[in-house]
Amino acid sequence: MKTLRITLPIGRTFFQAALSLLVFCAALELFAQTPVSKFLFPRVSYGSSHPHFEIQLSRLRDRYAKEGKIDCIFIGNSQVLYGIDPSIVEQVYQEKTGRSIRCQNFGLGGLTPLTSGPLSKMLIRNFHPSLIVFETGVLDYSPSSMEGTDESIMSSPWMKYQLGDFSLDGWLYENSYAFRMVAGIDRTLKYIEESNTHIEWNGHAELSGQTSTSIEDQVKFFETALNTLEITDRQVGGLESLLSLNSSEVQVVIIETPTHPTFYQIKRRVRNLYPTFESMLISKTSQAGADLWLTRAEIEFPVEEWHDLAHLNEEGAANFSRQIGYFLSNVYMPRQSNNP
Amino acid sequence: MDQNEIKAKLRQFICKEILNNADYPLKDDEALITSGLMDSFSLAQVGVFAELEFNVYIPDPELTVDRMNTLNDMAFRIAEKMSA
Amino acid sequence: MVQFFSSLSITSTGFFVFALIIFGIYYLVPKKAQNLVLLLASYVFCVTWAWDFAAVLIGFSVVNYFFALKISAAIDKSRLRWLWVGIVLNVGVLLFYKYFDQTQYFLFKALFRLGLIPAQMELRILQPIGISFYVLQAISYLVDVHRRQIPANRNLLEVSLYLSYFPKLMAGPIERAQNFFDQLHANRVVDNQQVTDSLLRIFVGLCRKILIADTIAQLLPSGLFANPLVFSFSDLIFWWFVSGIMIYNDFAGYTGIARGISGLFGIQLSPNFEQPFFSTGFLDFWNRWHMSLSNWLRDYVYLPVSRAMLRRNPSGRYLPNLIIPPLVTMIVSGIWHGATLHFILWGFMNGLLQAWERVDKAFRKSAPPPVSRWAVVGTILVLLLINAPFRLDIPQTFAFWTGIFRWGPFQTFTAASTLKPLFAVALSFYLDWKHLATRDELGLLRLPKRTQIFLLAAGMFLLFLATRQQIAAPFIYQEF
Repeated sequence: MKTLRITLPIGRTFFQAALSLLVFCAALELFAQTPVSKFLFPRVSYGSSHPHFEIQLSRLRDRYAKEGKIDCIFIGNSQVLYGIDPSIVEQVYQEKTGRSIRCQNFGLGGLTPLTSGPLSKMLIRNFHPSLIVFETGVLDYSPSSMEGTDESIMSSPWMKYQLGDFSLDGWLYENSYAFRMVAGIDRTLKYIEESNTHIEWNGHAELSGQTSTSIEDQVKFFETALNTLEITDRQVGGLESLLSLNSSEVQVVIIETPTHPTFYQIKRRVRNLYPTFESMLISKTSQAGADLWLTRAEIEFPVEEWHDLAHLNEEGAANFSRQIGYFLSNVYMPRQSNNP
Repeated sequence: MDQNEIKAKLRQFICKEILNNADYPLKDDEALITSGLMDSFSLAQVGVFAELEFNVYIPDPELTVDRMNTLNDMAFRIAEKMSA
Repeated sequence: MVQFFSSLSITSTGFFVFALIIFGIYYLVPKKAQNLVLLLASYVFCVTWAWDFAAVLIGFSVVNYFFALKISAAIDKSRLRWLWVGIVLNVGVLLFYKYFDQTQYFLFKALFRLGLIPAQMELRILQPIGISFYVLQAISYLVDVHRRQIPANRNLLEVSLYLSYFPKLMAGPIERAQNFFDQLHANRVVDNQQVTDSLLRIFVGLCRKILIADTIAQLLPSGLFANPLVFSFSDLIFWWFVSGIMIYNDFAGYTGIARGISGLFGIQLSPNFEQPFFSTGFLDFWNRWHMSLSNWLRDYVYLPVSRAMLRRNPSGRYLPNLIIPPLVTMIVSGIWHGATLHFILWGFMNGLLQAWERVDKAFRKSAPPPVSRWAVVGTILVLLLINAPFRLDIPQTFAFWTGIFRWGPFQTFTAASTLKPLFAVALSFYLDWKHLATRDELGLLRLPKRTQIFLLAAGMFLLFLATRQQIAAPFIYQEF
């Protein structure tokens, strides 16, 4: 005797609901592509909780859509975000070489060498730069207190999708405007009280003047990081992963992060570690055939050009960007730019 | 003892000892538990009363709202146990 | 594939695929084999968590099967002896798993000091899933056999299935043997209405668990339970109320899904909740919250203790008769929930509240005042405070209570942190209000067709969004 006695039709209401939902989703997808939706919901999300990642991605995407190929992308942590003005780099490069170059700042607060490789792969896949400039300093190679930051970027389903790890979420972030829009609304609600670093269209953010926090208090803030300073294999491995991308198609250049005039006087540990850091950089870049610029030996940034112990202010960024422009004019030749 | 006698004794007990009102006009089919007049402790009292007065044991899982909500239900259960 | 079916949680995709497979096999086999299919499925479900969990469950079922037969065959006082041995064994197993972690350190330290072991050892034993629940079921089965409520079941398969049935294994409902065996013997026919009702239960359960409970869980400020001192009065009250809604919907969601899945096999599991946030008093609350446990405690602890005391002194106004039974019952409930002092404090305080209501009722001269909505608000507020030790240890509980007097503005206010929980709270009340208004758990089905379609579509959309990149919080009651 049959114990399951269902007769058709069954679940009609459910199917009607599912159908209504499909129609709604299709309408939402169309709406999400309209200028009205972009005006109402300017912030879209790619599933990352990092405060700068999605903004930088939006800036880069907008510029790429508007101007075409981006030649040079600067990556690194907040020292890149605040310390490099791509417009100045472009200007100086043009003056020196007579050639134009399009540069974008993709600095992300707390980024470590570990994430620089996968991040660069994603940038190369989507935006086809011919030059990746990674700025790195002696603080970047410790057992990372910034692992949360790495995680906030790498855990993004979209980011994983870019690196070949397929998921439904990743596919939706990549292909659905509506999904990114709805995720962006959720993201805006969640992080509405987040400090809103204003990032310009070229990815640069400015810090003006100097912080009112004393040097001593700032040192206390870095105390833990400074006391556990070392060059770990894990982070060096991250750097190697980035350098492995250096090829005839994409040039990878490493620039040493500028340091505050008092930086190496703060802790002996920092001073003692520097030679190890320097020789590691030289060794790794030379193995990969990549260009390296050790800025400590060549440039001094006076105290007035620093906002705080770690970050250049507007003036310092302008100074540094000019220097970068000169440097790149000697090491980089862009290929013919084609609009995609 | 027939059900009417059982009901009379139950009525007296419930009104006096549980409802605190010996003159309460308790109807035979009045919902005692679902109305909130009685609760599980009151059912325990009725259970013990049945043991002492009628020499009948009503198991705890039978002291429920389904089986003991009205005076009629209670008298029926007690009479059933008495004749078993 | 193995990972997909590992540690199946009732809201995981793996679980639904598993249930679908079992559903298919269940209706393909002859009726005679259907109970066996459910039993094997239950053991497979258990094995996805750990092999030894299934081994414990099988051993447990066999032992209780034989104990029930022994009780049934025994006469006079030996019936009671077998019953007590059975109860002590069941409780002993439960206490062993619950208390082992706390005591093993001291036990091995003592053995080491006595020179009986060469070095300080540490042994970790995982508590088998659902053990707190199936132990209670086993005890109720043995007691019911002893009381001659039901005959001892000679079918080992049925007894095993009663204890291990997978939709209710993790966190109940705590079923009674009679009701369950009757359904196993019955002609279980599942028709269109049954399928519709079951699917709706699953859907509402998922909404409760994912849209309400998991959403709130993600937004609870960190440190709210660990360090209540840093939060002001307004934060504590708001988040404590919201976390109460979270716990309710977490458990009610699980129960809904379990009942829905079970309904597809033609087995009706008992309801566990009846709009507890509409309670008008403390006794009323415990008639609405985790009803299967409350009913178990009433039948196997409260009523026996009450009757034992009433036999000594039949007066309904004798204070010990009014105070001791609820205290004992709720302390037992506390111990069942957890092996720590704060659960016992929780039980004690809830027992005191119930005792207070009983004393008030027993000595009240006039009829009780009509129930007002303020009674509901007052009940919930007091219960929220009293239930602090359910989630917090004792120092944290006192910190929480003193924090209530730390006046201050809402520190944790953000758009998302208040909008989403408020939506979740509103949804929870809507579902309960619908149930209350229609006196039908599936009151949503009585709405006009278009409204049903809209609500279903909205629910599916929100569920889909909520499950994107969301790590599902484990069922809170699964910990017990």
